[in-house]
Amino acid sequence: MSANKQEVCLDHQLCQEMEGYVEILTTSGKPVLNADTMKKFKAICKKSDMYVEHAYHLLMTRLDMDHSEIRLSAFQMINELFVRSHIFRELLLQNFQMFIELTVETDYNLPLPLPKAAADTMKQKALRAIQEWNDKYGEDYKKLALGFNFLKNCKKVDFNGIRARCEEEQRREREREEKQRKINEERIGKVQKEMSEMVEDMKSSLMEIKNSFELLLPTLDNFFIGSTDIDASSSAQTENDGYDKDAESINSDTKTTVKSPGILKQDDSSIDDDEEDDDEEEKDFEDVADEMSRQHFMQVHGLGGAHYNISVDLTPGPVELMENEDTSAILTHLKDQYRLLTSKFLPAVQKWLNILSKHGGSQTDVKKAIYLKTELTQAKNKYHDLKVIPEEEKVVGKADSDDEFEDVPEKEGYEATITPQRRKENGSSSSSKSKKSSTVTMATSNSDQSESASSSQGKKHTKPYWSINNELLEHDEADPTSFIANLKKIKAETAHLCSSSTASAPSTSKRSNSTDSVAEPDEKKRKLVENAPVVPYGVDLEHWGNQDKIEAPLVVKYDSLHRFWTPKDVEHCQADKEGIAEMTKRAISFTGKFEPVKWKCRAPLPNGKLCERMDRVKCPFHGKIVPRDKIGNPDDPNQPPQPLTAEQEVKDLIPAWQDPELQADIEAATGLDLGSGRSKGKGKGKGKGKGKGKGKQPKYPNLTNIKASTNTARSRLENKVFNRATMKRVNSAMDKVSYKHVRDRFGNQFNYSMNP
Amino acid sequence: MLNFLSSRESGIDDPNLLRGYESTKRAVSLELSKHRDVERVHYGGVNSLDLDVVESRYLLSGTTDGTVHIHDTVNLTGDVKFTLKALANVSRSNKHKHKHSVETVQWYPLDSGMFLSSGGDKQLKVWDTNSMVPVDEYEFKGIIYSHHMSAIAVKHSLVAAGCHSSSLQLVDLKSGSASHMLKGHQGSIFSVKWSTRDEFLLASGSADNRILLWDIRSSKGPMMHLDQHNGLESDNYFDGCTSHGGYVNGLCFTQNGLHLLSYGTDNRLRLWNTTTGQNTLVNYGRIRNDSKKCVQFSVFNGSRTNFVFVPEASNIKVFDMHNGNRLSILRGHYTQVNCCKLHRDYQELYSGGNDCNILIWTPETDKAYDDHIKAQKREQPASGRSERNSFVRRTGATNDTWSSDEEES
Repeated sequence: MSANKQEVCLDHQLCQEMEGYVEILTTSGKPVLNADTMKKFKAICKKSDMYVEHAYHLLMTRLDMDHSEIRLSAFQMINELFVRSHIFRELLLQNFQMFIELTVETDYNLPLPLPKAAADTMKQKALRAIQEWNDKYGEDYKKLALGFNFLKNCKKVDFNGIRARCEEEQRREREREEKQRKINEERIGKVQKEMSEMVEDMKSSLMEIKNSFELLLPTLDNFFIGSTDIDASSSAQTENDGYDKDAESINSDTKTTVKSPGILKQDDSSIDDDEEDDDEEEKDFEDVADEMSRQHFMQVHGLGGAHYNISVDLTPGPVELMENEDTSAILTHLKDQYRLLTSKFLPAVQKWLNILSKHGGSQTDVKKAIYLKTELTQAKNKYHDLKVIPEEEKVVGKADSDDEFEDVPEKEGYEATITPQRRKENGSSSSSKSKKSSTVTMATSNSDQSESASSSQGKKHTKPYWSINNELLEHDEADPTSFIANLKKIKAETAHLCSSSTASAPSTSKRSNSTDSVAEPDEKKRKLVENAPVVPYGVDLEHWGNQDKIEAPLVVKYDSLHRFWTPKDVEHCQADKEGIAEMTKRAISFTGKFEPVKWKCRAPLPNGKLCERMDRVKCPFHGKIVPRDKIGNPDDPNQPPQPLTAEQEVKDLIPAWQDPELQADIEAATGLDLGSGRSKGKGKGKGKGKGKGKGKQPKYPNLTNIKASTNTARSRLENKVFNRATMKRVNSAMDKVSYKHVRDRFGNQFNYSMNP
Repeated sequence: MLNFLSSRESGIDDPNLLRGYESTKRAVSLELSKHRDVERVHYGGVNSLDLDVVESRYLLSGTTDGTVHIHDTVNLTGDVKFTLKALANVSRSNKHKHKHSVETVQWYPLDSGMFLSSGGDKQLKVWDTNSMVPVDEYEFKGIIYSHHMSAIAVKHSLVAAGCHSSSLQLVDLKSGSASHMLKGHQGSIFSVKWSTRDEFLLASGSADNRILLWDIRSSKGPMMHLDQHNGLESDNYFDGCTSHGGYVNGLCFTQNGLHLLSYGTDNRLRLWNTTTGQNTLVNYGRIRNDSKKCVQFSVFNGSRTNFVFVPEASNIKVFDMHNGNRLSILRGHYTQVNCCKLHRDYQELYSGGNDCNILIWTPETDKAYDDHIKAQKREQPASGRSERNSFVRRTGATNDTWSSDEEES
């Protein structure tokens, strides 16, 4: 009853899925099953015994197929299910005799099918499996024990040998594992040793890096120490104050988010406090009266609503750092450490991690390594984030003068079009700008830290009470290195330029103006020159215009072919004309554009189709390409007849001795490809022929093709020797010989001559 | 069953009714025994089996390598799991053993102190069971495919021996010589059987496709031959006056002797009326039979229905004798089954095949054995660790062991 119920529940879709899996697994042609597919298959089987039964039937049909690879896979699946399902065991044991026949070859009338390797593997595996099954289930499944005994006693299968072999293999496996374990241990031990040696170095290096960063970029914690610049903190403070006020006045409903990374750590506590306060107050503000007072408050302050989200972004941007005397030492040190870190420590840690994870190192070691790696990568990233502006520019500037301010005007000098009247204002403004740019290089950062950092750096360059006027007064025009002197110089130059040209225009335009009269030939020449190719200088260029004067190079001719002994007077011979041609000709690569051929030959072919060849001018089979109508006749009736059809040509191509039929016969007999098929099939379109020529794709490409004719010496000989015609011929010849023999001997005797 | 018992107690029913009912029930439910085994002493296929008539206790078996074995079927150990011990053997090293295969073995019907064996070495031997030596030997001209002694004979002690090349001879144990030669067959005689009703009636099946019934008191010829077409015109000339379309290699009378069953290589089983010689035309379907020697099969006699146990290749098929329905297939052997013998009282079936096995098929009407095992477990929960372990393993082995990795992901 329940079975019937289950049968109703058997899902058709799942059954199909199972069939699919069976198909995939059995036609894979591999000696081992695909674990994933098998898992899915088993998952379906696990659902109910009905599916197991279905699987049993599927597998038995597969096992019955005439291909050992299919059988092998099916057997492996059976093995998987056998050790799992009671129902499957019962079913299989009911038909165990057939199973044995199909896998172990108990019936010699039914040998295992062809791929012999697979068949042998299957036989071995099946015997081993049966033995294992018997050890495990023999007591409970009588028929299994009987089958085992049958194989053992009647079929004389050496199960003891199999068992021994199995044990031997297991032992070897164990030994190998042991060996592997030892190697692993050794490796891990080595890593541990290395770690213990290097960790200290790493830590100290990390500490050094950390300290140098602290020196370079003081954090907010220790930022205020001895610093006069409190911009950053004050801004943060004001934000905070505002926030506090908000929190107090707008009360609990205002949700304020402050994204405050590390720098604002000291503020976090205060925010937390506020929020706690908020929470406490929240309970109190549930009554209506309070609501009223809040609305009143909002009205008073002209606020739209009580819900505001204020977000303050305080993420630090990229940090730029100017290298100078104070920092250079630290920076070089940092660089060294960085190099050490990237070249030595990080790869080492990576290697440890690999080894530990691969060979199952202890958890603590792995953790330690991971921790080290994160530390190192953090340090590395920190270094990457830091943009160090090298000192070189400044060094150049210093060479000119001691004044660091001097490096800026160089840039100003490029502005040639600057007007003298504007220059004055510009001079002052630009100088102030330049001062700023020289001192505070970064302007992109909106963070307090970077700003403060840069300003703290800038402080060192900046003289506290500096002004451009002071600076200007300090120098006079006599000093050629001074700013004033430079300005004067530039002024003089521009004045000179203006006087020489009629208008203050760029030099190119001036030239075009002056050469207006001879414009046209020049224009032509220029165009030609533009188009003219550029070739390297050569002999032909040297004798341009008088080509006949080119002399062929002299070639030294040695009569003696000896390596050391040469005749005294060497004959110099002129090379012939080829030598000259070699020298005067140049190979120039074609620079034109490739135009694909868009037309086809379309000459009618004997098979009713049109020629598919796409030649530019002339089809090798059908001559010059001409416009043709739908059926391939040329539009122009006066067209000369086609020289040759493809077929004729092919026929002509094959030499007379190559009779295609004979060749096919020889091929059939020898099994060698002599190319008769090729020459025959040549007339057909090449594009099509290729796909067809390979023949139909086999249904299961993974399986070994057992029907493929075996081209062995024996089969070839068999083909020849047992050929019907050959036998007939040979027999008749032999008959003739024997008849002749008899006639010669006994031909004159009465009784023999009567019945020959 | 309780109903039957109470009515039996009060005498309402015929005493045979309960017995017939129960035995029939048991006979249909035969299964490969889980707790009874036969000690493995056979090195060749088992050709013939017989249980002694007196006690139905001793199982006699003859093998293809000329040995004869006797097993005791009674379990006196008190343990449920039981292996039938071989009591006596004519082993391969015994000088008296048959040179070739033993085709037939049979107990002397009146006493288990004597048995007969015959075989491929053309010898019929009469053995003394106690000393296991042949007391008499008869040489024939051809291979003896089958011999039989009448179980009900009181006026004669004749052994019928069917031999190769169409000679059917009767050996008189009293005189110790061949007394008759029955002529009539034209081929080797594969099977001979005495009637269970008439002590002078003998049936023989032969390679000439005919079954002949003899009255041994008349020496003229066969009393009747059994015609599969019941005298009707046959469509085939050669088919005329034959019992089977192939060799007849198995014969068996029912217990009451009214019917004869025959088994032929035309893959048919036929049921004959012995008094009229009519084919009853019961259709048992096609039963594959390609054995070229005698096949022993058994009939179970219930009160109303009879069952036939017929070896078919490596299985044994159970049929209802009168309507030809197939009741079950007993699968257990791995090669050809040659013989089967039903225990008269216990409804146990013993079968021997070419795979050197004698299998015991016991009625599995209830889960008695499993219950027993469970009871055993309850009785001795903490007695023997090893026993408990074995039980745990047993129940564990019949369970499903799907591992958790087959969970659907």
